[in-house]
Amino acid sequence: MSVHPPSWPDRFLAWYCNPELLEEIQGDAHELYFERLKHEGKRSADLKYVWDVLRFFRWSNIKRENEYLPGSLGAHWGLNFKMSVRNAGKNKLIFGVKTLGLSICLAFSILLAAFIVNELTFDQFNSNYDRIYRVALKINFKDHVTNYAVSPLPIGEALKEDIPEIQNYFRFMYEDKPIFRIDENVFYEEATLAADSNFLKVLTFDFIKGDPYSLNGPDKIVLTETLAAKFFGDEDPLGKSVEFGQSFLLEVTGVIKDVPANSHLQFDALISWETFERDDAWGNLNAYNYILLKPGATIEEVKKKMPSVMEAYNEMILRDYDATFETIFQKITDIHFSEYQDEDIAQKRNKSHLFILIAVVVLFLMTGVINYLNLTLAELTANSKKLEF
Amino acid sequence: MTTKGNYLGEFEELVLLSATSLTDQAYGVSIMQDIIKETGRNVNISAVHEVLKRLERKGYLKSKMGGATQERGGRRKRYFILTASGKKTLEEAMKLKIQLYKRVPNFSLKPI
Repeated sequence: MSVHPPSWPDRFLAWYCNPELLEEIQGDAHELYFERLKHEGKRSADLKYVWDVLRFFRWSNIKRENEYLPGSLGAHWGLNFKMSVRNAGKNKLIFGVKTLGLSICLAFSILLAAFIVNELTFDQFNSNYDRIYRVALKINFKDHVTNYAVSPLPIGEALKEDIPEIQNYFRFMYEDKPIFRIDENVFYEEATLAADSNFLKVLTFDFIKGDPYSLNGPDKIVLTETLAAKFFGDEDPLGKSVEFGQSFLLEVTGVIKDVPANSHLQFDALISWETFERDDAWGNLNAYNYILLKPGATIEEVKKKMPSVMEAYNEMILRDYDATFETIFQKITDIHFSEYQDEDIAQKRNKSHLFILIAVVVLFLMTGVINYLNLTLAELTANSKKLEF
Repeated sequence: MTTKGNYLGEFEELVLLSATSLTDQAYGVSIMQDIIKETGRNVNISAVHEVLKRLERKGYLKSKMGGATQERGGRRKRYFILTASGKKTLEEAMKLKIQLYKRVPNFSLKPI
């Protein structure tokens, strides 16, 4: 037989068709093909054959009915489901107890897992989180060593000028006892930072109103969504005035979404750096300084190129305090789990506590699953005795 | 596998009747050609297969594979046979229709 149906639709049919139906379907299609070949010619027979193959392409011919595929909704799955529903109905108490136990166990585990994930992803909402470092200090006094989270006010700028790997820096100070006054209302519980204009450019916060340039210039304030609602209710806060302390009148220039719970810095308001007169001296150890590396740069390169200005500073420390100091670079994502530092305002947690919690969750989950399996197996054994297997 | 009720669709009834009348020669192509010949409709083979599968699932037809053949590349045919329940369903469908026709006053089945 030299003539046969076009081969590509034939292969397509053999590929999609359920093997159990292939013989009869292909047989019928071929029979029709040869009949048409006799009466209508090859071209028409070919075209109609392709059309038939396409028309046979439907789910009832494709699906493999009696084949067991793990995880598929095949016949076995339906059977198992039916059996489990019937067994559940038969032993309602055991089913209730074990399902409730497993549900509570899973719910608790998922809740704790969410907390653990939150802890382990601290500060990762910043788009450049792998390039942001905090500049901290370790001061070696004669008889003791103290770690400080703060560093001298000019250090960020000095590092940026002398080290080409550093792309940007920002600094802020913590306002100890802020007092805000709006008309007659006084607020004094808000965590407030005095941040320079780079703060909002390096860190990633979502703006509702305003932009990352909102802290440029003196007498500006950026509020979080919650604080803006607290201060002004439903009114548009942009451009409104807020009295701060005794002598400052600030203009609201931006509103950001509330600081994410997994940020090591928690604050309600940011006041622009230029609002206040600062003693911009190396002896003023009160600012939190952060640097942003250029893409591809490593912190080791920065450490190697610590500028000569630091030597002068070290001499001053040695003279005034009889101590030496080291600059410590802390990756922003490591701050949450870092050890205690003086003057730190970061949210911190001991990493070993977190590991203990993880162990507890795993143990809890195992207990729950074993309990479930135990009850199921006990039930199964009882049933098989009844059936005399 | 569940079925949508036990009544017969119009095309299902055609296929069932055709398969019955072809007795031991009822398989996909022969049923299709029979329907085309008797009704003059343009019927595709895949539609016939679909309905045959459905009728078998409903229990109106039984099927078995025939012997090897010379034509169609040695592929076997699946032959269909009417079951008792299929016969009953056909009779009930006919009876129901006659019963409904009889209710119409002065109705003639002859062409006008």
